[in-house]
Amino acid sequence: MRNVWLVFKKEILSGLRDRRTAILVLVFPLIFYPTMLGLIFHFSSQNVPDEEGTIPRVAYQNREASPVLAKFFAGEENLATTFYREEGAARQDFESGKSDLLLEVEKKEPSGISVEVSYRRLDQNSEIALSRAKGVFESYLEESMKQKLGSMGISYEEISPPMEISVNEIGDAESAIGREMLEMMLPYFVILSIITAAMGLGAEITAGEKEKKTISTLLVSRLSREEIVLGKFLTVFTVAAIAAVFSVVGLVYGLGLFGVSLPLENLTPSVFGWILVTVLPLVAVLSSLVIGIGSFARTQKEANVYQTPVLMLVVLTGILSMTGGMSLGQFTFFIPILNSLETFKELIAGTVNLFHVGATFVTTVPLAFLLVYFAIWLFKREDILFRI
Amino acid sequence: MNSKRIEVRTVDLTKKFTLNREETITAVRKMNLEAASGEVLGILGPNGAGKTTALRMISTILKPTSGTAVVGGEDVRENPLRVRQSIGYLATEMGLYGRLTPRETLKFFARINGLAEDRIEPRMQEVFDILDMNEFGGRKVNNLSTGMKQKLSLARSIIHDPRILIFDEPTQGLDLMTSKTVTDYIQQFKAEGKTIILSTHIMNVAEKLCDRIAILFEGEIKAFGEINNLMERYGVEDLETLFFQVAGGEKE
Repeated sequence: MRNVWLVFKKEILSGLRDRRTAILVLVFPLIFYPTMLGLIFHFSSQNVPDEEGTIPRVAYQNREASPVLAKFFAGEENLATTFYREEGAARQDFESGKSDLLLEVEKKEPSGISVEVSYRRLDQNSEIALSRAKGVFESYLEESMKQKLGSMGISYEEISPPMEISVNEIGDAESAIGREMLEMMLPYFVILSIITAAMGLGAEITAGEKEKKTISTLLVSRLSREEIVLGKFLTVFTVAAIAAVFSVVGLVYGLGLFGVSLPLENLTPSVFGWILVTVLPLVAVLSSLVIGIGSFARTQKEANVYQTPVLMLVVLTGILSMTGGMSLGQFTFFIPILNSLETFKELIAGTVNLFHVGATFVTTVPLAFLLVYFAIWLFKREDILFRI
Repeated sequence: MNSKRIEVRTVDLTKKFTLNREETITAVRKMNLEAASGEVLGILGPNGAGKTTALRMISTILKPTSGTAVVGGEDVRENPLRVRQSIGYLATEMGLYGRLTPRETLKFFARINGLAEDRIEPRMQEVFDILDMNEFGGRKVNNLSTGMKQKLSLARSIIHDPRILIFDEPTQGLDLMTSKTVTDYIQQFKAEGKTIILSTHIMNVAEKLCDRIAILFEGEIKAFGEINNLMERYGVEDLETLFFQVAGGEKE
């Protein structure tokens, strides 16, 4: 263990004096990522359309089917309704993007009507138009009911509705954005910080050692090859873990400068402990992967090339986790990297699911051991260590 | 020579490299040689003769394919870690950590070579004095001249005071002044009773330093013995002619 510590100390000392390490561990997590996220937040919030000032366009087919409904729409000031008589004209307008909502009304015997509503999903104006159209339909239905009940001699007011729903919006938009950013983006940026720090340093202290021909001086010392690899692994692990901590600090405090306050009330000491149990094995997996790649590569440049798929894997898994684009149920928590991110997300939200934490831990820790063993195995192979 | 202890002995030392599934090359073939304490043994050969591979096997960096070497009384196959306790190795390339200072470099190598903590500072000072390194001990390696780097490289290989020194092309790429400094130190180490095995293809270095030489060509030892005896045996008057004659080449 003493020898592992000696290698670790040497690598840390050398790494600390390297500007690139400082950039990857300090500048990226503390300055670059928060600034980038803050600017994205700043500009995207400027692009959000002002709902109150928006008047979506409605294409209305067949006014004659229900002049009353048509009158309701014509009277709605927050919708710009255009009526079409010619068959298919309203749809054509909607499909060509000239209107945000399509209403196709038909008479339905004996006395009703049917309305087919078409809107574009994730289109802000279209969704506003749909929401407002629903309000118009409700007013129309209420009015129709009143008339029908009146013709039967029953007052509408006498019938009390069986259920009344009231929806309250709690919290301001800013804290909602903050919560969303924390839960979705923090794990992503943490893993990004881990992998970038690990990659930069890992390639240098493994493949770089071969390239600079310093490796043979280590091999003729009393260090065993296991000790050399473990010392290097410990270095990358430590630096990557520090980068992870700095990325949390950077995002939490850095985003505050852009007016995004992240809700940290869930991050109690015990939750923080569970986060460490979840994230540190992930750091170990990525560090050992990087050390393995570096042991295989002949030069730093070659190591960087081999690291690219790992980076892509991490980025894509991060995006997958961030967007919630995978529904594998509990199985998700047995997929390395993805399970760490998903559990991390839960923990930030204040949910400690011991099954998820446990599943993540028991899949990630053995994988980390396996990868460290693999890196040692590579490092022991002469045909790889001295590859021409 | 007989009263001296044999520190290095190779027995049919062989190394084969696999190029691909069908092709292997034999870099060193059944090498048998020995070096005693207080002796400088030179391994001479052209580029690609197998000098570096042989030295790497003796230093336990590479595992022999067959045969073995006994270094400092320990078998390189059976006890590589113990072999490393008695050797100092200087590779062809200086291979230094650019962001460390010579002082930090030596401290690190003293520790990983098992020098006791209380002996590190005095030994470092001793080496700094021997190699005249005090002036640049605190400077970053990246900022040192080639000569200074070579001194540090040499210092690194002797910091733990090994009794066997293995130098792979110690003067390659050095200017005359630095080269002379290195050869002077090798003579000094010899006078201290250390065993030195060095590889070179520079004849006057071999002539100046070596007690015995082994001429290596295409992985095989073609001649092994004291320089004068070999010249007498082959009927030649200088080492260069001997080398070309033994190696099967022609003097230009």
